[in-house]
Amino acid sequence: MNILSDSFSVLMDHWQLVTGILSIILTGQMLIWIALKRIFENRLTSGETYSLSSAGWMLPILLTSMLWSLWRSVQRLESSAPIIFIVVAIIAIVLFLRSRKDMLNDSKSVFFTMLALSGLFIFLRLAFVSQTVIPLYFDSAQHYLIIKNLLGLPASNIVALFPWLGGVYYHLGFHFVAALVAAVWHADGINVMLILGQMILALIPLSVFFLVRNETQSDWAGLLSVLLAAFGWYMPAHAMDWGKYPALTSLMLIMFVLSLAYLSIQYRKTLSTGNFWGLNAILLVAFGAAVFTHSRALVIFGIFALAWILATLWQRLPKLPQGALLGAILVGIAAELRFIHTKDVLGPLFDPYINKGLWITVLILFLTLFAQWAFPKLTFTLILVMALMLGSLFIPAQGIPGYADLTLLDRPFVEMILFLPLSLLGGLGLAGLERVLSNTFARLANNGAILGKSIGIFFVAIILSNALLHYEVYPSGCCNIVGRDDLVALDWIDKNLPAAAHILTSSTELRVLATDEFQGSVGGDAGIWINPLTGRATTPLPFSTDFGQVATLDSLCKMGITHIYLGEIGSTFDDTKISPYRDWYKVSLSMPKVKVYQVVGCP
Amino acid sequence: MGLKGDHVNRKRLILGISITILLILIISGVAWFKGKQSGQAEVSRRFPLQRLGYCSSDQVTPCIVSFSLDSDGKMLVNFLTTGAFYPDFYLKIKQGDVQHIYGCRKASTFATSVYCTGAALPLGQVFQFSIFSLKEDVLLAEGDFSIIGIAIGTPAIASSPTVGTPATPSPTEGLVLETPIPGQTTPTPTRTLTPSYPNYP
Repeated sequence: MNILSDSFSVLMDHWQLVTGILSIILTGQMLIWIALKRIFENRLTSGETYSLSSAGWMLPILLTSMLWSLWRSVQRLESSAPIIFIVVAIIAIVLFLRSRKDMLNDSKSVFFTMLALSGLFIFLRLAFVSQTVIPLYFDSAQHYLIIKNLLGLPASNIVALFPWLGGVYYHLGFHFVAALVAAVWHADGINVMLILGQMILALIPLSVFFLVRNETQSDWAGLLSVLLAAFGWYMPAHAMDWGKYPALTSLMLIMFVLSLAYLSIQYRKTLSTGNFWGLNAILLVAFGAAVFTHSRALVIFGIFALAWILATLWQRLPKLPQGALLGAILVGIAAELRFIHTKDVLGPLFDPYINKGLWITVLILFLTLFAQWAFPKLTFTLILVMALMLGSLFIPAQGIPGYADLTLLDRPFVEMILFLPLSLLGGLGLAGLERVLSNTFARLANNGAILGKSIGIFFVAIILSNALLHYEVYPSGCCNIVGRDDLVALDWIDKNLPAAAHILTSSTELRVLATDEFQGSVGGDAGIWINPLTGRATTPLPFSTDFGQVATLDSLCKMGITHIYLGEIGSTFDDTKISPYRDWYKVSLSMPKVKVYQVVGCP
Repeated sequence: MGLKGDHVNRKRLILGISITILLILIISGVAWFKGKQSGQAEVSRRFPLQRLGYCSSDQVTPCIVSFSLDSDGKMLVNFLTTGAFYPDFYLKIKQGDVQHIYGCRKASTFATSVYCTGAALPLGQVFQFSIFSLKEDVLLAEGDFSIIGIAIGTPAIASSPTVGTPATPSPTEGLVLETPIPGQTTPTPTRTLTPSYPNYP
């Protein structure tokens, strides 16, 4: 009951922003829906088309946002976002109304179920915001800064559009969309990140429906995969605790690209030439948008493509080698699991699927048997995809500017995305089981086939019961690095410290790869938010820095550090190594859990 | 025939889901309004006066998160409120006939955080804390308690009971003093590095 009242409370507090984001999502959905209807006419069901539009809504919105940024640079119009959005929305509505007769040509039940699930998922996910004042973990500060920069771009300078490309590359898709939302609805960037993030998270599960439904022709199988993706494991929702906004956003686009690629293969012989190339054009743009949103999407596409090709070749083999190869891959996955467990950095990878979500994973393993029997090619592809994803943790990726030691995929990303193949396998498995039971019952009774199909209700009930008992929609305590005192301290810094203040903040070491090499440093506490929120210059140093050393003071003086920030939560500087040295460091702000020192010991 | 039956079942399914969602929305709406009524002070005083105290796990707002001192010796009282819709207020702290007024401001971006600035007060003595709406000067919440009851991060702040004097941290109390000796290095304690992006605890 708390979840419902918390969600409602957030809805009441932010109804304008929620409605505003919904209008933007709906505009994107309508445009994708219209394009797909033009290409496929009535070949796809309304449920399938809705799933695809839920996966691809961001594509036209991202393009609109980039157009808006370009428009601002060329026309020097600062308040052009609402105008551009209104024009795009009117175009979408007019096109949608013109072709509405063909919109719902089939059974509407699945479409309305999907629509209801969208509303329910969004509503439930809003509860997260009730306990979050600021987006979590260190990544979020970077995302906020980029959104802020996009909103504050000088309209006269087109080069300023992409200042990050000169240095370290960063994924920008989510930021463009968030900036557009903030500009259209005059909303605060922090609130946009929190609410847009939750709404994106709510829509991700709907994107898996299409692939399962189209392959199996079973609505229940599609719905089961949606529920698995939504509530099966604590991933991908937990990625929100990590501030992984771009990665989460890319999940929708990844599913959109995979679905379009599947359509392109399946319908290559039945579509007219114009429609076929129209589909491929959308596929190409979506591919670019997905990689732009998160560069590791490129690796995922490569893995899926390789797995699909290998599955095609595998299917041509005689039965015995087929079985032997499948067995070898399963043994390979088991070996990978065992090896990964021995690495402390990679160990947490399976926590969502083995420690906390064991029963659901066991259920998937059971269903996979039926999936392999009924849909061998797609199932083999998905098994291979998982094996390759795990293997990518150990394959080095060299030559990426700004990054020294990288592997094709890192642990958080693999941990976050593993739910996708598992959810798809669950859906395929249910459809396989339906077939087995329908065939068995059909021999026993006249209406046996219908009885067989009703098995889906049982599995949906299991997932929902598990979600009701165990699923957590609130932020995890693991990843909050900003406390209540920090919020006041950040505002105090903004109002009281000189603009030229240069603040030392705490950092910790990034550890996500199997390699023991240094992978970079990241913000350790709320100090990471000082620059994005107050504009004061900051320099990070490891949280274990010993401030009692003369050498440390000399370094601070040479760097021009004027203040030191000690946050409330996370990996903060040790106050007992600063407070004794009153000739060097003077307290500027003393809160029970936060301190700001002024460096006074420089000559 | 079978298809028709299937179609009817689907319609029932939609109806069932729609009714369930509607019920959920209505129930949560009622729960939210009930929570709002019991947990928030209203300027119009139609509801009982809110008790003011330290923030705890029950999250009754407004409440006091912490007391702090800035470099000018002023005391910062850190409040947690329900958010952007909570009225702007000022803080009055009374002890006997003496009263202190503290101007309050919402921390920019974080509407739930409000902090009030004013004279530093001694620890350990009981004060009456009252917050009044700026617009209509209506009492929003009130409570009697001492500043000593707060969770304090370092012993330095807790031990500065001088009236009207900024509670400057005194690092010597509760700590072993280390005098910095130029050129001499002290070993840095090693901490075990844990993987980034932790899972659910």
